[in-house]
Amino acid sequence: MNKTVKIVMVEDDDGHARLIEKNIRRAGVSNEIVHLPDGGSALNFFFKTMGKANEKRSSPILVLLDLNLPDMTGVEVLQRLKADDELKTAPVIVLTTTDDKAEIQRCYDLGCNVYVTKPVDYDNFANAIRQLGLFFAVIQVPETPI
Amino acid sequence: MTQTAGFGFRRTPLELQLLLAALFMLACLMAASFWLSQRNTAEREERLVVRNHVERLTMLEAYVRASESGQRGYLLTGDKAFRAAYDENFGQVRPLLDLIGAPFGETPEAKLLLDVRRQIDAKMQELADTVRVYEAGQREEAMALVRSGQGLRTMTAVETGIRNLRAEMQRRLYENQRTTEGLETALFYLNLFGAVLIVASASSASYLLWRSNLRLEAAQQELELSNDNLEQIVQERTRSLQEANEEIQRFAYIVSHDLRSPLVNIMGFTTELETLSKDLFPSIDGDAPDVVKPDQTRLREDFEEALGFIKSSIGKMDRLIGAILKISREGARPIRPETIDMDQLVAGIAASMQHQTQALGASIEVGPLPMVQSDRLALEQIFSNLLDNALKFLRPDQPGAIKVAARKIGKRVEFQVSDNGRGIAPGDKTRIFELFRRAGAQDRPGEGLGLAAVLTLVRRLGGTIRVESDIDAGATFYITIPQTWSDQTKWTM
Repeated sequence: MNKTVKIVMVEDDDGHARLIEKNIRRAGVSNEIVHLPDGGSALNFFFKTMGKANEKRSSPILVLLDLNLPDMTGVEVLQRLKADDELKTAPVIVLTTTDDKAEIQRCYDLGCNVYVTKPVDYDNFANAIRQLGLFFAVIQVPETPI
Repeated sequence: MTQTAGFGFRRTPLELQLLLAALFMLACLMAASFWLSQRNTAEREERLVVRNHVERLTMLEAYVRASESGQRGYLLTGDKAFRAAYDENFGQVRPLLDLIGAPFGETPEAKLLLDVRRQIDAKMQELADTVRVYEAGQREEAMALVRSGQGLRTMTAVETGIRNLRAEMQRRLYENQRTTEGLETALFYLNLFGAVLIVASASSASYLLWRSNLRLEAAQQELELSNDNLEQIVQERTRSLQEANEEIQRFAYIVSHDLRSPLVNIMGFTTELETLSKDLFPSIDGDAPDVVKPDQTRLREDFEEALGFIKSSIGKMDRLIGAILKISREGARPIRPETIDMDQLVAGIAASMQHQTQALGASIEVGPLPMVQSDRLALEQIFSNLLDNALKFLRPDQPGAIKVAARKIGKRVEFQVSDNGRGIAPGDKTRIFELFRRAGAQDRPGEGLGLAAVLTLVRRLGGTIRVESDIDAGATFYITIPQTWSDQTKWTM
């Protein structure tokens, strides 16, 4: 994956964030990871920080999104991302504990690219993240014009 | 509503009383009317008799006079024609007198009649005497008898007697007339009273009918009102029950998700620790044996034991949370009723367990089961859970015999799933339906979910479940569900 691609992780649980990061690194992915703990700061990052920091067209992103956020649901963040003309091309991976079929369907309907359930069994968890890492390696992330 | 009914019940005898009173009075009126008419008829008949007698008296007087004139003519002329007239009239007198004599008892007329009879007897005697004397040839003596005036005297006496009797009879006729008039007046008033009574009872009956009709209408309205009210109450209760149920399901769903999140961390970092332990306590295989100290081996074993317990506990907790999630999802799943051949459904489940059944040397007998209109998935899960349980808890000392039967109870169907297994202690009969609870010897795998799921599903189908069992006596589960599932039966739990 292009070194300039930024991984934006929206995850309220610090432990989960740490485990995800560890396993991503173990998969050999060394891209910058931005950790945002709630929906508000995520939206803030997407629509304010990114807009200001990158005046020139640059910095493609990949979003890792948890659905259970303290201030809003991840689905809402997903909706806002996909409603934006420029950000909607960014790949979104929903990574959450919810394995409800209706919820999964809804995320795919809204335009999420991959839906991964966090298993309690750590081996499976690590495996899933590592495979995501492999996925990152081959994925082509479009440059997001900001 | 109850008050009105009570009112109505107290009312009825009053109406009945009125009706009976009216009937009784009408009967009295009829009896009185009948009696009066009878009396009237009797009076009329008496009047007729008396009139006849008056006529006869007149005739009697005429016969006596005719006899006298016949006697006089004979005495004067000696003409046999006078003698014949005398004989004829004389002969009429007595039978006529006897006719009049018949109907009188101890009445004033009887005395007067006696008097008349005596006078007539005297007159007839006088007539007969003169005629006899004349015919004996003593004409002068006979004429002397006539001249003596005795004939005139007796005749006057007869006339007076008859007049008196006639007057008495006329008086009686007059009295009789008065009595009849009185009777007729009484009859008229009686009939008038009867008419008034009939009008009165008819109007009071219609009034009572109208009033009870009004009351009936009011009661009906009240009933309709309370019916509407009841429906509203039922709807409100149903709604609140529905809300409570949805609340519980949301709660179960949220709790199970939120519990899972920290569990991911615990498991994750425990595994990370395990990885770290390999660095902390170098393995025997990896290093030269002399480098490993006995202390370190013991520490590593303790560490691994602790991690093992933590991980197995997390695994168990994850399964429990998964079970709660499953049941809460089962409760939220919409019911899709379809026509199901229960024979086929249960036989299908039994067939899927054939491998297990054969291994245990057990048999599953599926009796004739009815068709139902219900949710296929729910029924499949109910019966596979029950059959699975029955197989799981058979007694090792005898071949297992499992039976599924059914019978119809009105619009509901009762299924019986019975076995000859180890049974359930009486104290555990409700406990076994609780989540995570298990009864008896804990020598079989399981989380205590099966019967809790069955209970939830049976309730979802609007049914009930109970068990009859005892230790070592087998168990029979009775599942009663509506034969045709409908939205209304959903909340009958």
